[in-house]
Amino acid sequence: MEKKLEIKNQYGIHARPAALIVGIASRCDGEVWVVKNDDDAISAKSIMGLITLEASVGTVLTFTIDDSVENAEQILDELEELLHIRKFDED
Amino acid sequence: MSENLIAISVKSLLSHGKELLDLEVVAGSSRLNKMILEATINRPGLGLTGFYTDFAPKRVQLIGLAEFSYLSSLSDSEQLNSLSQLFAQDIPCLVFTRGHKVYPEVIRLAEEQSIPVLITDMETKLFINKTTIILENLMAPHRKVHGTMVEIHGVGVLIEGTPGVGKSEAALGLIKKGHALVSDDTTRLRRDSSGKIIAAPVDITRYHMEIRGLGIIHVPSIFGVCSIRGEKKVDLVATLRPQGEKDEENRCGTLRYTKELLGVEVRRVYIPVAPGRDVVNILETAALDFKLKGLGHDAVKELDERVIKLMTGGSLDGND
Repeated sequence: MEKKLEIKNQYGIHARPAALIVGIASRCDGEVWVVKNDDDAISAKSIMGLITLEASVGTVLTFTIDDSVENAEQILDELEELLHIRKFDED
Repeated sequence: MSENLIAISVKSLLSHGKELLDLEVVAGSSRLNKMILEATINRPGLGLTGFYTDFAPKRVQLIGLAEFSYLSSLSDSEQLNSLSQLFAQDIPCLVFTRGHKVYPEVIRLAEEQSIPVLITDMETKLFINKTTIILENLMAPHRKVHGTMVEIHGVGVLIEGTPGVGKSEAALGLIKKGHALVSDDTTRLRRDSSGKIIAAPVDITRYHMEIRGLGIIHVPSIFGVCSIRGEKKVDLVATLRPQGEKDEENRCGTLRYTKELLGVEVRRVYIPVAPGRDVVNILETAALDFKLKGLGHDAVKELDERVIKLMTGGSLDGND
């Protein structure tokens, strides 16, 4: 399953937001992939990978977790909360 | 291979060639999004004479000394007519080398037909060489992969494995032993025109590493410039994986694994990771073994030959 999420904080995914995403993704039992536009997929468990997305405010990222992963839905919901509601606790 | 090539915009060529090519836009600055579809340069001499059969419009078009002399030999109206026909071929851009003067009428014509015109002071020969290299690098098939790239005794090793398996920690250990880091965790690969896979860091995170417990570190600041390398050919893929049953299938190293990267098969080794196993040492040895095999020495084969010789009644004395 996948979820398209928009970056809503002013400075986009820099080091601290990347660490917050990794914090959630690391609790996923399977791999969590992030794609920006049609670019290559990046592991959401990798801080360096997330920073290379160069995701600024307004960017839409697609997070994908395999349907077979038990806590897939919960992880995607938590990511949605982090990006859309908490906005990385920045704004 | 050409089917996999990607197109790049004139703007992208300008930005990547900013220091090397000395290009200046004199017309068509609003159309720098025009795409270059072939990674090479065309000198449109025949085209300027009006012959457009099998013309190569997808390439950067270049007016060097010969083309410029030809144009200069024409009357003003013939010259404009000739260039107008060239612009009508929907070319990505036109470059004048050697600082040749571009007349205002030509600039007006280019603006009318929406073709970027660029000038450079460089000599044609040098410009063609440098531009071709830049275009080939930009247009080569490429992708980002999850893996850490290091150079060990001249051997390029791409360390891959699931998050948390210890890729960065292994790379850190290798750096401490005097080897060089190319990129940590996210690596940009491209296939060059000779079919080699070249690994490079992603610009934004270049030479930074994330080490669990420490956070993000800047490698050359801590370990010096010897600890980094701009880019490196991938000779070997080392896949780190948790110790398991699969490790038993290749105890002798007789099985040869490969991994496909951008359509090229690259030699691969699987390295089981477990507490107490010195992954750094194993990676270093894997690189050296790769080098040795490249020289024609294959330890398992040589051992086997000795054993078989003994079994079939031979003796081990002599050169061994």
